[in-house]
Amino acid sequence: MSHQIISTRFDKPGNHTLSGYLANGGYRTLPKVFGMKSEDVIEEVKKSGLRGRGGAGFPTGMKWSFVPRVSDKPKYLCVNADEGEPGTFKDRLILQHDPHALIEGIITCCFAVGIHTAYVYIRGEYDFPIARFSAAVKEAYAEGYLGKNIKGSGFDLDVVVHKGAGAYICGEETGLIESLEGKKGQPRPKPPFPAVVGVFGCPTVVNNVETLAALPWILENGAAAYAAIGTEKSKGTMLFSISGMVEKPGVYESEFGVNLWEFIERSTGGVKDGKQLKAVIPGGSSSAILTAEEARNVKLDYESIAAAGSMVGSGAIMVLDEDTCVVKALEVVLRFYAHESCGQCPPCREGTYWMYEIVSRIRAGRGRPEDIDLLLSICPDMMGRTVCVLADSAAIPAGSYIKKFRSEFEAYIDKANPPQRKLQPGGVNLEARPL
Amino acid sequence: MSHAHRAVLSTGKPFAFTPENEAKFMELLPRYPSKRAVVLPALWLAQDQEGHLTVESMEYVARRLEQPPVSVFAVVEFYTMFKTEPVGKHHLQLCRTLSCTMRGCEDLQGVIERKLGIGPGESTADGKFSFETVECLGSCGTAPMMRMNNRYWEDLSVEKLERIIDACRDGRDPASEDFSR
Amino acid sequence: MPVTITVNGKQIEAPDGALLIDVCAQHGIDIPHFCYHPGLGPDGNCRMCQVEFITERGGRLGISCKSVVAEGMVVDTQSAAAKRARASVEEMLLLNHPLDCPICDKAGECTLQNYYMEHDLQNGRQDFTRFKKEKAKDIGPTLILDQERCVLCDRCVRFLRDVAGEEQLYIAGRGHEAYITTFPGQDVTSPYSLNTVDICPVGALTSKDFRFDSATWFLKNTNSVCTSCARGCSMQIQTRNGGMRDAIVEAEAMPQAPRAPEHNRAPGRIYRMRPRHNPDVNGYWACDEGRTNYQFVNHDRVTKPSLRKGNEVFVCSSQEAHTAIRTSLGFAAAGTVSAPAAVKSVVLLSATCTLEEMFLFQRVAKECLHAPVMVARHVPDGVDDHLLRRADKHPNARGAELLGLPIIDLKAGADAASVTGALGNGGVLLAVGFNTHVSPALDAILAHAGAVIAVSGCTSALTERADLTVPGLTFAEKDGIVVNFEGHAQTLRPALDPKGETEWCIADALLSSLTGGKRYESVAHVRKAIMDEVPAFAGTDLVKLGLTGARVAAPAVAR
Repeated sequence: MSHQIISTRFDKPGNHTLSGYLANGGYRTLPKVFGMKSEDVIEEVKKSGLRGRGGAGFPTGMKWSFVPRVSDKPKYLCVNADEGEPGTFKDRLILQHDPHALIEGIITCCFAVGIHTAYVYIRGEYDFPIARFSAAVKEAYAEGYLGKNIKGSGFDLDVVVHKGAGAYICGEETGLIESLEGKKGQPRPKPPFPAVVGVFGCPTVVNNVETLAALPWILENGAAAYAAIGTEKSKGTMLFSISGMVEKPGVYESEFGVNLWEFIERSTGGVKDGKQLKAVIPGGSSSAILTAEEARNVKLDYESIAAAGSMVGSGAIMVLDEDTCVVKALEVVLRFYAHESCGQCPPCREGTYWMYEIVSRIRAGRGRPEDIDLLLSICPDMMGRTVCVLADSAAIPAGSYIKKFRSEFEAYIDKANPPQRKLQPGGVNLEARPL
Repeated sequence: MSHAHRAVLSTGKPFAFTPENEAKFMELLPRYPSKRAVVLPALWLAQDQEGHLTVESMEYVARRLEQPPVSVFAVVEFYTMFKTEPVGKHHLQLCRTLSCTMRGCEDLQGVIERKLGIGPGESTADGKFSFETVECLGSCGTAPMMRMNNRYWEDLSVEKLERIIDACRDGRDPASEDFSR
Repeated sequence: MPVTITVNGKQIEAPDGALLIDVCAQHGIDIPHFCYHPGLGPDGNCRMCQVEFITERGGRLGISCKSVVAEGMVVDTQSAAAKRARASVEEMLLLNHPLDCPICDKAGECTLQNYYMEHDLQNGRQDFTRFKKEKAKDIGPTLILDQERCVLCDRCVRFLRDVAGEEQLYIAGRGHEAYITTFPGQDVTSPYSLNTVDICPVGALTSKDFRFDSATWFLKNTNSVCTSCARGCSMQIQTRNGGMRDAIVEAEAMPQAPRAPEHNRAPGRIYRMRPRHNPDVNGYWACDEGRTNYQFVNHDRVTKPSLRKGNEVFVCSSQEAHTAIRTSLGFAAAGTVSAPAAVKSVVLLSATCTLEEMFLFQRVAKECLHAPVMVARHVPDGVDDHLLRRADKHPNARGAELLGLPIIDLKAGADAASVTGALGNGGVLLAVGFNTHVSPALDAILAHAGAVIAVSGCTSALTERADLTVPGLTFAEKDGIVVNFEGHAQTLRPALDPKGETEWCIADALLSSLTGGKRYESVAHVRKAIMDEVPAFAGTDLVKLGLTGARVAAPAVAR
């Protein structure tokens, strides 16, 4: 059976308006929430087992409980809508099609933690989602769902839409906080964690869009109902962004614990054009790659994917078919991380670019036999050595692509046997063009 | 790897917000507990007003928010969406990250280079088109895709992109094109 | 409450809340670092100070600059993992670092270079074309920026923002393209800009004043004190005999002349002055003005005693000069004297004179001349600022006050009346220590003087007018004490061979020859005498002031 919690209203026309949302049962949980003690709301979310859907999978209720109950400073919520992990495009759908569910989740979170200002940091390229969500916020203010004394509850909440300006690293929670403060989005060393010292030096919750959008359902149906879905450690459902070489890419919701490949096949119709499956990247471009074999035999939940050596991450599943060149794929992924490194820590700033240079030259036919081992030796020097995990995000795919598809790398280096494969069939000669 | 050492243009004439942007700016201030937090929103206003940021507009934003100009400049140089050089009327931002590459964005780059005669980071002589390759825009399910004129153009094919460019070139709105034909 | 931690197997007691990197440094364990600086605090970006924390769950790498010591913490700074982590940071930093060490001013005192010797010493595994950034960029009156050498530690940015209070540099861009920059078209104009050169761990920021002057390893270091204002920052005076700039000057002057061997090619001179750490006075910093105010040490010096006879000036011997001082002041050429001289005189000391000079010339004035002695502030005022700079540009006005000497302000062009009044018509002026910035107010005094004796290191309107000139010393040649405006006494130490005569010795010789008293054996004996005779200094061991000096008295109330 397939559970739908977050995506139920995506297809309902007019749901992005307040009246549409209300007609679809929206804002129904607010009276219940306002009738609860705030610590009971946190307790409920803890019991539900909801984990952050931005990539790290940290238990949401626990994150909230780290924020001091009593604080002489204001507390803030930062909604992380800086969706940027390659392969991820689910938060965009929530912002576009179910913005009020996010607002309802924001109200719930803020009430639980005692927050009166929430900043929704949306990546700057999301013109349409920004417009849609801003309109929803405007409507919510007009109808008393935001602002002073929300629906007679005595609870005040302001929501500010903040537009990013193009930097992947602002999706890292302290990078986002820095950016919101008007600085370069460079992650902060932790501790202190945002729950204690966050934006503007105040206690702060940073939550992903999808995480917050799941709250109304949990509060309405109860933590037990949510926890009953999925597996022991991966409770509930998650939106999976499936892209790459499948017939029907898109966002598909699933409870945890299903077979990874079966889920992909069922949702998207399988590999495009009847080709063979080569590999699956299960949790965004920073996750380790799974071979076709592994993908067919792994369950889609936090613990199973971790046991297979990868991660659920932001739920961004990318499918590589038999024609896809893994070397090229790694080159593209490393180019991304080299471009997005904030530049603070040398292992990331220099390491991402160095690895990109090496893979790039391998693909250009200028690789040397020792290059593959060189790449593998750089990876550990980038992992766990930096302020944030961007360096790890480049090292993990590099290490896993090479380990699992080493022969493809060697084929580029073996001058006697130049590779015939291109990344994709197409009208132009991909090999000849510099990136 | 294209944004370093962008030329920073000076217009030589003072910058100020238009009355409309001034009103927006004044609305922004009370939403944040610090003036510095308004740097990004204020830069957006300045960029939207002139199409790109200049020495004068950056200094203006810094002055209005009581920030050292160099810190505002560093912010501008950090974010890829802030432009310190003019971009074309139609600014094509072609995504080239993994899903878009798998689904053929390099063919699309070929289309742009062939039809417009410009490579990444370049503009047509008439200033109508400019082109840059960008990293993941969060639209991988509809890859390959690009952002142009403040909206996404998704599920692109060589033919679809050609028709979009043609429409722009002929002064028609490509958004009103029917690509199902 | 102190906590006990274990570092490399050794138990260390440390104050609770202290940073691990500081605690280790205090116990002689230097952990490599780029971004951390004791004057700026940790930033955590460079990742060089990684050490291994040994926990129950095994080893864990972490940065020591952001780690606060905790009871029972176990740290290994030299474990294989920690060394590998640091070596890899070093390798990463060198990937795009230009190999221009041979022409880099920082070579020899470059942290990146030193850590390479310490950690890496392997051949580069990098072989892509190094990323090009701007080199030799002029970013202001004092600084040259080389973006390629920069390791992006953010120290200069943090110094200007957090210490100097003027954000004029920033890291712009991101990733491996990030670079240090000013706002387009603007300069770094902070009066403290040159501190960024000191704290730059590499040669990215270089000083226009020192650029290409000398390899750092040829420089001789002398721990002394800045004499450019009443703060008296602790300084290193770095000198060298001969050197590139001198050789060029010499070669231009005498293109055909055979070159002397380098060790005696040119007289020694100051190449650079840098602050040294003194928590009681200047912390880690010094202002640009103070550290570049040394040109006069090698220019326009008075090197020989001279006597004016009519309109002509004759060079004379030291002995002749000393005799001339006696006769000018109305004494016989030799022998002790018991009666006051018939000539009226005034002893006018610059507030730049050392404590010892002031003390002995005061004795000359009181015991032999029975003449008034005054200490003059003559250099025009600057500004008092939030950090170090003082308006009073004299290093020892507070010392004069503590000696009980009257201070007159000539710097505004006024207040000469007390001197002219004392001189009457035709009195003798004995002026000591007026090296630079000789105020126009002195002109009025000179006009009143019947005769002028100048003990002066540099030529000026004073020496032009003087009937007798004895060459004196500059701060760089002196061994003497100055007391800053807060009452903190420090010792100037000679960095260069003297180009003139030691002022306190001139006074001592005069005193001894006129009174028949014993001469002081050394400057230390003068200091002992000050301690014995001047109550303000009774509680301070002036002989052993150490590198950072001692607090003698409360700060002066009035400037």
